[in-house]
Amino acid sequence: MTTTPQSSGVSRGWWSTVHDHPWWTLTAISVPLCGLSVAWALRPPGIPDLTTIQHAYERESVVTNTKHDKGLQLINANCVADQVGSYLCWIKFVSVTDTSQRIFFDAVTMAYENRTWRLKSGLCKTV
Amino acid sequence: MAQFKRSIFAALACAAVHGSSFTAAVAAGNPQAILQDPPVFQSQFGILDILMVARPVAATEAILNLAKPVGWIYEICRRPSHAAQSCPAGSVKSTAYGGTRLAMMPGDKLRVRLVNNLPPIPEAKHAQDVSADLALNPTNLHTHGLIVEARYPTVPRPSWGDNVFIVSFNAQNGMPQALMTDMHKHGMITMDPIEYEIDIPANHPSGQFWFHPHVHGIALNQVSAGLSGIISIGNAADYACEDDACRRPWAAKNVRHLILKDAQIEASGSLSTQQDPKFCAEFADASEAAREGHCAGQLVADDGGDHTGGKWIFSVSGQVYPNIPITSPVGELWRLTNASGCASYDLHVWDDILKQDAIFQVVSVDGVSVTPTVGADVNQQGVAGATKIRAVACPTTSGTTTINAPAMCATSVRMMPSSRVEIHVMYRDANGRAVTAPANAKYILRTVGFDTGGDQWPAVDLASATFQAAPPTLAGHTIGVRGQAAGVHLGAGQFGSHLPTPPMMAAMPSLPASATPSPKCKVALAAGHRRRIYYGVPAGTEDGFGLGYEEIDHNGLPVPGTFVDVTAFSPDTTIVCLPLAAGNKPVKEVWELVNVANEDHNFHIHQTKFRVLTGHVAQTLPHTASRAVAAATQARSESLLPFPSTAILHDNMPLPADPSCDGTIASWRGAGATCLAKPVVVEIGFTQLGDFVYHCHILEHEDGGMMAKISVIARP
Repeated sequence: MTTTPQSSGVSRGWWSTVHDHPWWTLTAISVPLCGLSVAWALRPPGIPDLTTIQHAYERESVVTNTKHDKGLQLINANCVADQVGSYLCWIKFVSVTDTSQRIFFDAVTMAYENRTWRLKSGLCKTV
Repeated sequence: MAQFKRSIFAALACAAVHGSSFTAAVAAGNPQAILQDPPVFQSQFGILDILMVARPVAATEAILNLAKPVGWIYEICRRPSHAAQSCPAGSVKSTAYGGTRLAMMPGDKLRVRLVNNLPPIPEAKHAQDVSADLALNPTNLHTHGLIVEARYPTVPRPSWGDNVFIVSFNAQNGMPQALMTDMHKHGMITMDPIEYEIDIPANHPSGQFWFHPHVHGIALNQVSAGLSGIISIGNAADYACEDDACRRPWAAKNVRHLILKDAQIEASGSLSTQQDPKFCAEFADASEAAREGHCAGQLVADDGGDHTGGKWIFSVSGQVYPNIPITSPVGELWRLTNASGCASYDLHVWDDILKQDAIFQVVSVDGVSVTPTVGADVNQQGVAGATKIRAVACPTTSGTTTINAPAMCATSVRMMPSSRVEIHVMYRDANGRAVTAPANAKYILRTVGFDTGGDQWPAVDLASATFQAAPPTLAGHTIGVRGQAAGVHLGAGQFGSHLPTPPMMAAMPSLPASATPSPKCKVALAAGHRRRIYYGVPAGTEDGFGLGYEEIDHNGLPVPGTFVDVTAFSPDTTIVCLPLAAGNKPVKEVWELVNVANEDHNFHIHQTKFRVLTGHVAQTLPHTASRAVAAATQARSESLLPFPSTAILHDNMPLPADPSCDGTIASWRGAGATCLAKPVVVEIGFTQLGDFVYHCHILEHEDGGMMAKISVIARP
């Protein structure tokens, strides 16, 4: 008893499609795979943590925002995914110029854009 | 039958709130439940370390005799572990709606881990004011009346002091919008439990204080839902004795803690946390049943609220119209706390046999025992009492009465929200002399109705008291009180010494090593200058609430550049900033409080106490006055009397309104001024560092913006 694809109607149809239209089939398979690969490559590398928030803050503080406080150093962060693809994080931080070492508390929004974690709100970032 | 049902419900309520470790009040066959003292957590070895979970009442937790439990409570237990989120099953815990007592001694440390398990509150009036975040129902904790630091957490000490600039959200309600402008800029948001560590100074006065949430915008909602409890520092024996010579210090068993907490329950069974002062009529009409612990809801024509079928319950330590059996031959000390968000009480102890108000002795006010001024008349005593106390002459052993006795007596106390008063109650004859109670003697603790200008707070009987027919064993007709109020005015400054003898530690709470002067407000108030605080209505609002400010020089003239018109609270703006005195010693300031609104307000300041220098005279009234007369005979815009007594310290004080005022400062001064309000002058001692607030403690007003920020900094 053979087990060739032709022995089953369903299997034969699949094999027939591949056999008769090899390039179309390859395209149909490869495009989603490529998409998945791209998505895989662009996916957030896990949940943002203290280090990623600190880096995002430092990048933003250099770039813009007159109301953005300077010299903040995070000491704790906890993040959860929100419903629009971003992460909401509650953080603790100190100001490096504050000799009293007062601890501040805040909630910030983080988003993964262009392979980079970006600070969307919080830490006195106004927009 | 109805009374029997009530007793059963009350007994069940007691059993529920006191938990397995506390004795339930089972008064089988008794038509009234016996008042039970609140559950207690006592400090051990100088520390009280507790877990406090703010949460809704569970369906199985009966409160206030309600068929459908409503409200929010603090579930409290000793902290089971560092990061605990709930009290373990089987642990000793309190879930008392009426309030738990935290008992500590001067010098103790209070550690609280506060967990927010509250539900969202989208219906709150101010839920959408800044963003939707207040609807998520963040919470925090304030230890009202304690003279402690408003400390921020630091890396070396990552806990909070008694600081209201932090709120904790319940993650189950969703995340706050991080864009909320007011909160995140000031480091005030956390999704974690808040860790408090509050140092009680070793020279802190002994007395009664309380705790409650203090989130601007929803404080009324949280307090009205039931979130509060009490704090006691030291013992009554620290200042009260059965005799003047203090051979017999006051026994703890003869002290009761009465927490006055009200709840508006609609006909549907729901709890209204945005309280309506017109829920009930001020006085019962002929069709209404006896107001024993509650009044009947009504249809309010002018604002459309229909409370018909509902009840406004005025509970005493979580019980509805309990009975207080006074069995001690020396009487009892009652420590009263008005834990209402808005309601004011004009409390009388009514002798139901003599049909007149009983005289009682005022022992302490706002947690500090009184030091009556010898020779002061009743008007002067009333000024010192900031119209809270309707003073009368105390009975003496000779059978005559005189105010010269080293005691303060009264026939009523007016308690606005947050007020505490401690009174000595025993059976007295028509002249106020302590005598054997007749067999059927009965007192009724009642509020006779309180008109605060804009609102009329209802007359309700709160509890009854019965007596054991035994001769009194007091040496005289009053008890001995060694007032701590005067001690704080010694030359060394606020709480420079502690009475009674021997003097306790005189040191100020030590400043943190990292305390550094702020770059601003390095300059103290100039000699002879004072601060003036206006209570009024912000421009552009019809019924808003706000505070104004200016500095006054030694000639009584405003100092240019200091004026701030009446504005609503902003955490961005520090209105008053002052350094401590040289060597970081206490500093005293004189403030004028001017109520330019046309309704009463209630001045409260955190982290300190104050005394009255010039205040309103409380009117006297006959002991037999009806409720309506008593309610109507209130200090409003009567003449002011200067009487800089050291008799009484306050942390809150009524500011009676004058109907001639419209809420603006312009109506009070300048050409064409029509507002006749007179400033109440107080002296405030500052000893504690940090950012804190002063505000109206009618929480509807505070939530509406009648609050301002003050900073006390270390001496530059």
